[in-house]
Amino acid sequence: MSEEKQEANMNCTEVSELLTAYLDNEVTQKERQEIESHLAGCPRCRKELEELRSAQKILRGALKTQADDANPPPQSWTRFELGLGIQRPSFLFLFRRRKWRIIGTIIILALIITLAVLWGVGILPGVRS
Amino acid sequence: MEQWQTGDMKAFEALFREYERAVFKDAYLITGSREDAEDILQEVFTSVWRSRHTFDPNKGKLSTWLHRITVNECLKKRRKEKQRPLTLVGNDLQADKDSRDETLQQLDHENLTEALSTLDARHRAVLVLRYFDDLSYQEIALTLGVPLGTVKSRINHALKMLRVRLGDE
Repeated sequence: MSEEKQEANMNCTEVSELLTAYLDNEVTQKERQEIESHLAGCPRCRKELEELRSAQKILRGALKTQADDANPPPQSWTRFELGLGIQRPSFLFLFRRRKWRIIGTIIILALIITLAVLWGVGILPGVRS
Repeated sequence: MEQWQTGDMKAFEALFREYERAVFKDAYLITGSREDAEDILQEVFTSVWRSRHTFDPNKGKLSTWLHRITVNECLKKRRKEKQRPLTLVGNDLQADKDSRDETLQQLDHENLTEALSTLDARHRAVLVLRYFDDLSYQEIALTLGVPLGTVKSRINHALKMLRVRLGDE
């Protein structure tokens, strides 16, 4: 008889989807009963459960080890304060974004060209007779 | 309203110093890079400073808010640098490690570090929130703004990917 048919309520696929939550105590009482009932008759799911349990344990240890070695640089607050200073309101902040730099450049170029044309046709007073 | 929310820099500095390690460690574990974690730490607190008036302690914990901003900044950073492969934690760590005894446990950690580097930032984030920060699934759902079922399946999927990759070593 297939192991998947031993438990009417949950098959291997359904149990497999809940195994991590089961290990984390994040399943309902009903789900817990169904999972445990399935596990009692399914060596494949029991093996998967043990592998996941082991992976969780190693993961917790590895994350802790990595985090222990990682600390922010001592000058973080100073850098933050300086950053806030730069970000104080100024029209220059517009030019930090690429889009606004392009728009700003186009406007300035258009202004220069317009002035050049006006100067060329002698519209600008006193520039050309 | 808390003192740090009023714009008092001294109070904000106290907040910064209280949480900078937690934010940095989360960012480091999620992105796998010290350099990115340093930038993210700055981005997170800049964001907190700018939106300090919007935080309502009656609606949620400060730590949840900080976790959310941190994860969002990590994901944003990864999106921007998608071309660059995750060099992961392990490479940075390797340089810092003392010559420890090569126990089986350590070998497992190293394999796991390698395996972690193959996960995308979204999956790494849920694993870090769950197995480093010890958040419940409900707290992770609140932090990420996703349904509980999504958290459940994402953690399950991420852990299984790790298990498979550990098995491949």
